[in-house]
Amino acid sequence: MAKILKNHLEVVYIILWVALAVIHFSILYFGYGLSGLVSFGDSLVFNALFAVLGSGLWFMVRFSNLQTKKLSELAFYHLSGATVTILAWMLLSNFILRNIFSGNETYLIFLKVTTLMRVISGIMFYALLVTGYYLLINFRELKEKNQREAKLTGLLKEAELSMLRSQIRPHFLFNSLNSISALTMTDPAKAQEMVIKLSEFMRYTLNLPDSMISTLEKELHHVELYLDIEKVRFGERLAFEKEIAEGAMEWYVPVMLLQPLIENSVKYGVYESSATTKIELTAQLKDSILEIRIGNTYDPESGVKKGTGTGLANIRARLLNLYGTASLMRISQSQNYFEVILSIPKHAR
Amino acid sequence: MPDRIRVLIVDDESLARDLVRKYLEDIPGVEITGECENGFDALKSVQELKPDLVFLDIQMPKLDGFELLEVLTEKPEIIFTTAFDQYAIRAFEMNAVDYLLKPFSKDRLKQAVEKAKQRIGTASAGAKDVSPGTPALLKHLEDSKQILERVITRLGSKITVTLVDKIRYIESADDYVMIHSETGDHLKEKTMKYFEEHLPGDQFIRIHRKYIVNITQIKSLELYSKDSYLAFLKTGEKLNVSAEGYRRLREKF
Repeated sequence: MAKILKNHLEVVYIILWVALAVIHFSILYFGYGLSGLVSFGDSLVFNALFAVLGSGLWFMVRFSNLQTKKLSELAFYHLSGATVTILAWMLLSNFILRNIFSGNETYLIFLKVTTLMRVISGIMFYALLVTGYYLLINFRELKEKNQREAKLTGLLKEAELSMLRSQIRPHFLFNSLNSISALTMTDPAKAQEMVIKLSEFMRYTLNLPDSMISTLEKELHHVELYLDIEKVRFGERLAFEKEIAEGAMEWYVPVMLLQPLIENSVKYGVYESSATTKIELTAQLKDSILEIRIGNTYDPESGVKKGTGTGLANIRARLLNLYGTASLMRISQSQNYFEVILSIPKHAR
Repeated sequence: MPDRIRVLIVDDESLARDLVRKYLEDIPGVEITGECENGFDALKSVQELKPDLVFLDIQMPKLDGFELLEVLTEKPEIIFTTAFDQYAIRAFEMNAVDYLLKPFSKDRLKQAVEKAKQRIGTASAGAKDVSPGTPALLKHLEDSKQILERVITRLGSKITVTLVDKIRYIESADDYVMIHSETGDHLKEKTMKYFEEHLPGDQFIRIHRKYIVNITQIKSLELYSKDSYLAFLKTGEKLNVSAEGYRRLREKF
């Protein structure tokens, strides 16, 4: 694309100068009544020379653009640039034309008289070209910047996905494997069941969709696998109840939204209490909002602070990113019950 | 080496206890004296059954494996069993016999038991004074920079878990400190320096050579003499505040 555009621009540049040359010729031929040959020669030499010098300006502009200069320095830079360019242009053109039309006294006088006009048009050409070049460079940089940003967004999304994938807490995995190790001796059928559940659980986190969107049904299935596994470890110490309103299962929700919350419930509830910890999950439809509540009882005497809050902060940040408001997650806490309330707007898939 | 060692299994997960028991059944010379599912039961069992060796999980509700060791006066040999490898260094600093990472094999456990048997043999051959654990354990706890969330104290066989939020102030008492808290006053064999370093610094301030106070408990401050102040707690107690302590308090307000 860039290459075609570049070639394209060169053609445009040539056409521009041909057009200028034609206008130049017309003014001399029709306006001043010079002969066709003289008009042609004059137009060709002046315009071709400026076209060549002007293409050299491109590099000068690009160079000046690379070094972010102060405005005063830039003005000085182009003042000297214009002086050198126009001086070279005028001297060379005059030299060539004087030699070609050395016998044509009228023309030589005409050449001398029109010097000021030519210098003024030279300044205009210079200004126009330099402006055009700057615009072009800015346009290209903008495009590159957009491409870079798109790439960066992709990388960020990739990072978010891999962050979610790596969220499996290693000690959960190792403790589960230890339970399986015990079950292979006491209850092989149950060991097998647990291996299968653990595999299915891991597969979900390894195959997160690129869209980062899932349904409540899939998310719920995932957390239930997790809870089933933890239930094998903790038995009566873990009780799970859910209540899902009709129609809620098909609702689109951000992927891996529930898992960290349920993990928190297990971590601060079950891990820290020898009594039964009740974990509850309800999903209700309110207007065009899916309200998910995840709560757990906890032992206020356990002394474990409610974590660093990074898990919750992550979820808040994800919701903010996806839906643009920060109020979609609320926390309610009483003496022995901790609850997170999520409000998920309808997602236009 | 002893012919027979007596073992206690401590883990909050029944399957994890099953596993250790099953593994041990095939090792001759090992008698399982009991199983406990939390630190409190374990403390009682260690005191009553006096096992030679304890398989100890680290993460358990209320009283974790390290906290249990902290309140044990006569320490049996310890083999930690845990899924967390980040505790390994801490465990060895406590002079544990071994550190089994879950899941572990029967051979690995066997190896650990052999090590324990050797140690128990040496200890009963008259080297009881260099009883494993104690000095290294205490030294370790001094060193670790972990911020405390709760303080475990013991009076006889009664264990008290006190959340740091419930502590009003800590007073130095010779080689001990007295912890004044909502759960009562508890003596603990620790230094003031230890508590100064391990209590949350935004809540607890050393106001005097003798006192560390929970600043949420302070009702008012009064000038006492030229260079010292008095802090009045909400409970009506009065604590001396040194010039240095006053300066620290001022920094917080």
